[in-house]
Amino acid sequence: MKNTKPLNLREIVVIASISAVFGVLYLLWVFFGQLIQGIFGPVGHGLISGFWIMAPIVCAYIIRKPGVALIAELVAAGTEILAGSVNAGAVLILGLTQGFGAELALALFLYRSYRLPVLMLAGMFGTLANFITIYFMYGYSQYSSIITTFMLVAMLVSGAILAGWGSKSIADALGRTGVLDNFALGKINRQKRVKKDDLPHH
Amino acid sequence: MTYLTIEDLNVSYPFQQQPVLKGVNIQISKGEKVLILGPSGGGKSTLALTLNGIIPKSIEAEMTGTIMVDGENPQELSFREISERLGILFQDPETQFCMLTVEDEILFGLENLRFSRMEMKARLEKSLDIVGLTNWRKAQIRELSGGMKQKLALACLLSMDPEVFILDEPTANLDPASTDEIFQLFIALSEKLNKTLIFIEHKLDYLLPYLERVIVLGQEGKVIADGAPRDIFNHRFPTLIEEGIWVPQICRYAKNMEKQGMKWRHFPLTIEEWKRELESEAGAFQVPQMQKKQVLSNNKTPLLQVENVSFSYQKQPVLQNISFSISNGDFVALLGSNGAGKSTLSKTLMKLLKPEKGEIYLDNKPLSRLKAYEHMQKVGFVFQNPEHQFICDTVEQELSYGFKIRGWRKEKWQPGLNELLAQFHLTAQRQNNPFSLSQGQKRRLSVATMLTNDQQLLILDEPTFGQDYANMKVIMNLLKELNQNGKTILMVTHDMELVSEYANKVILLHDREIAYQGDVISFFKKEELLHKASLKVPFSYSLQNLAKVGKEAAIL
Amino acid sequence: MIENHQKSNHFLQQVNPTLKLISILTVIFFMMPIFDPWTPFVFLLLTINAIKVLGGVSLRFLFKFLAPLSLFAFSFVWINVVFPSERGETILFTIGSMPVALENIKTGISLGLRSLIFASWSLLFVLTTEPTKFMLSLIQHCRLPPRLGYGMMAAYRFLPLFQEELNQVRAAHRIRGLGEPKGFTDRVYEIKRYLIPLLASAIRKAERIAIAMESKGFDGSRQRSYYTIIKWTSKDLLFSTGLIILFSGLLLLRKSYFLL
Repeated sequence: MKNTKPLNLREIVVIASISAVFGVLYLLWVFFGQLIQGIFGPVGHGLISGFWIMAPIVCAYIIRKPGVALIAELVAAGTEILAGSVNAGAVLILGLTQGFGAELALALFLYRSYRLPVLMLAGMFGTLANFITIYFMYGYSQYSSIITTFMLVAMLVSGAILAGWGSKSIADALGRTGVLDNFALGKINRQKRVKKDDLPHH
Repeated sequence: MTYLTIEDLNVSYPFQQQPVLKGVNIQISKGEKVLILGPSGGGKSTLALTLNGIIPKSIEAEMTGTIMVDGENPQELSFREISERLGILFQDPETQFCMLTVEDEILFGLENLRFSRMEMKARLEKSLDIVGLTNWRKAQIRELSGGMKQKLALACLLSMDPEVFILDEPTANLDPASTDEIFQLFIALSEKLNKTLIFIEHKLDYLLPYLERVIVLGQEGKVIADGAPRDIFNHRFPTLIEEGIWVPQICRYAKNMEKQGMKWRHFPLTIEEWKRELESEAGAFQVPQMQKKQVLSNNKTPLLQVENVSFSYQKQPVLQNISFSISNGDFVALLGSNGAGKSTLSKTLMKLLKPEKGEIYLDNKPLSRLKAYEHMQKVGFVFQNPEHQFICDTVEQELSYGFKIRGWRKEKWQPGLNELLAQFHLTAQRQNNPFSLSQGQKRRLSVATMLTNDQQLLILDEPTFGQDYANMKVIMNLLKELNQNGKTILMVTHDMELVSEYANKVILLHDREIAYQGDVISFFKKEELLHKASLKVPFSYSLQNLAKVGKEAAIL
Repeated sequence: MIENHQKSNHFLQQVNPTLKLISILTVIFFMMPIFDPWTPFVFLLLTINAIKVLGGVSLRFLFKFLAPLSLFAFSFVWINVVFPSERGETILFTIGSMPVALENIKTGISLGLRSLIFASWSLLFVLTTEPTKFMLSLIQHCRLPPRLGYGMMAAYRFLPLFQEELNQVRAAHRIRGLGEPKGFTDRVYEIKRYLIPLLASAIRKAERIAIAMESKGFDGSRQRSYYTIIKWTSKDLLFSTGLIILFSGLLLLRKSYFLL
């Protein structure tokens, strides 16, 4: 199921709002997250990095059009900068690279498959892109390779679990509420239901 | 001259068996003032959105039939072209704006229409002036009250100067004072600018004299009545009631009088008309009395006592020395305008905020010494937005949750669960996701979840908010039933009709203090106090008063 | 509070938002190859002073934002000491059996300060730029499609609303008997429980606002007029020149003093 129509206003506002919700929720985690980062350093950063790619993967999984992951990540960055992020610069660059990362994974499957392994791969590509970016931005080349390897592994795990599995389970739970009925995911779910209802008649 | 033509319109949404609109034929001329009535989910808003082409251009739907706006098919016009002809004022003040300040929001629409800077400035200033927001030009939208937000939304439309204004329940989320102000604006709009106005509303008592035509959509999405208001409310009355559609209070009373043998020469739509008709017949007929409610007695045991509670927020006092008490079996209405401190008060009752001074007693135990668990066993809170309280995947799980945290086993709670489902008409929805329920079902579920612990006191924050007439009735009757079975109810509300029909006690919060606590009838008599708190006595009460005055005059 | 700063009439507030955004990116690229502690130290001092003098932001206000980040900045120091890519030769002292080298401390400080520079430049942008102007500038100067620009503004407007709603949901869940989360997994489940009602409401709100925007004639095209046009002015030239002087000055200082 591939849809190549460009994003309409409704989808864009929805993408931006989903990102905004994640942004608000992140505030709950800020303190917790900073503690983890301060104590465990880059590895701690790695473990929560998947959270950043949840919004675009949720959006891509719901809307299923090419470019959604990238645009969602950029819109998320834009919304965060509008909201006054103390990391506006990093957010902007990371938005671009992470978005490309996640988008690339979905493109590899020609935007036809949004099954769990694909989403996990998208999450891992996203966190990988994050790793490469901050490696240069924050000078992680100065660390011993042991710690950077640990960090990379932590990020990939976080990408697969938080961003991949987490996003899917949230979007599926959201699908059950009925608010996605007008989006690709909701339509697919409803088609499935209609088919199931039809079965006994045949 | 016909401006809007709808011919044989059918609309159905994907995956839905029933069409929302079925064979609808309507023609509306320039300058007409039309009211569209119908049950909720009955296609009123769908009709509005097909007129400006959003359906099917942005919202997917299957549509057949013809629509013409000013001789053009809205589907073939761009959003810009259609917005020059037709504007919609929506229900929710929070979701109509995309900019941050008042000025920028009005400019957003004008920029869409590609006006020059000069033209924009002139239109901006004029529209602000009409709605009375000139002094708020640079204000942040989020700092405005709900009523002001709706005024701003209206100013946006005015600046774009369309021929047709569709007003889609714009006052549904507003308190009575703001509703009045908005209605005054509509009346001015109708008289000065003579625009075509299409109201989609359900609490229109005071606007009725200005309407020329009523169109009623039925349950099945068909037009079931179309004509002058007086005709429709008089001759189609039983149909409207059957379909669960809103009917003006005064018409209900007028019909009631007919049952007693009253023959109206001129079926009344306003108090003045009612008065004129009755003058000749004074004393001959009884205006139906308000149901007699149990009078407050003093010997009942107090359940909740609030003693000298004060609270301030960022050094601004919000509650000052609040004291009141609620007895077992009371049905209390907590009134007060926006910002009077109602929500702070409920938060202290929920133990989400701790009073700076004073103490709250529940069953004679200080709240501060009650454990959260004990507190929840005694009091149930129903939030304004039912969705906020949902935590499970199905209705059944949602209801059994309360039993489960008490450590009950399934055999023990199953009967109670079934009983609640039946009582709240949710048995058919037991496996549905709570979020996917209708507005009325969600509200019922949120009340039901607060009864699983057999709570004595139920505190509800505007339980009828966003509900249509039929759903409102169901909820309120459920509450009445609960009350009659011994539950104590405290309900925050704006709706004075509800107060007069259901409550037996009123607590008025005004200017951070308790301005009144006592029975309902004495409350309605305190005209000055009501005026100060921008409250209006309910329509039914004015009618009865009128009758009394009439009788006295007849005796003299 | 932020709004007052964004609206004031200081020099930085008058610089084109797009230019300010580009300046952050150049700062990030400029800092990438620098690992000595002095260059970022001088740079940070200059940046903070620029925000104070040219942006009219008090130091106290600025530090309120920067202070929480210092923990993150400090992590660079200890990690560089404990896990350096190459252990330095100038051993200062040992903690247990671990030698602490001056070179590694220096690199750590450099990286920590670098993260603070990124943050303070972000603050330079955020504290002196009105969101609306930023969005208009992106549309007018960076060819951002209006559909994206105004769509983002609509969602940005929701932020305080979502915040309020989050508080409501937390209170409502507490009433249902759900307590404060304990431990990591609890926290994750809590997040999921909050996310569903918040996202459901966000999606419905977003759909409604999109409809409201379209019914006000918004078609997302570039063909629209603008009441406010963000102009390029002499201030922008001045700002760019200042930035170039800053960069070259720092490079010069670095070559002649800091690298010795």
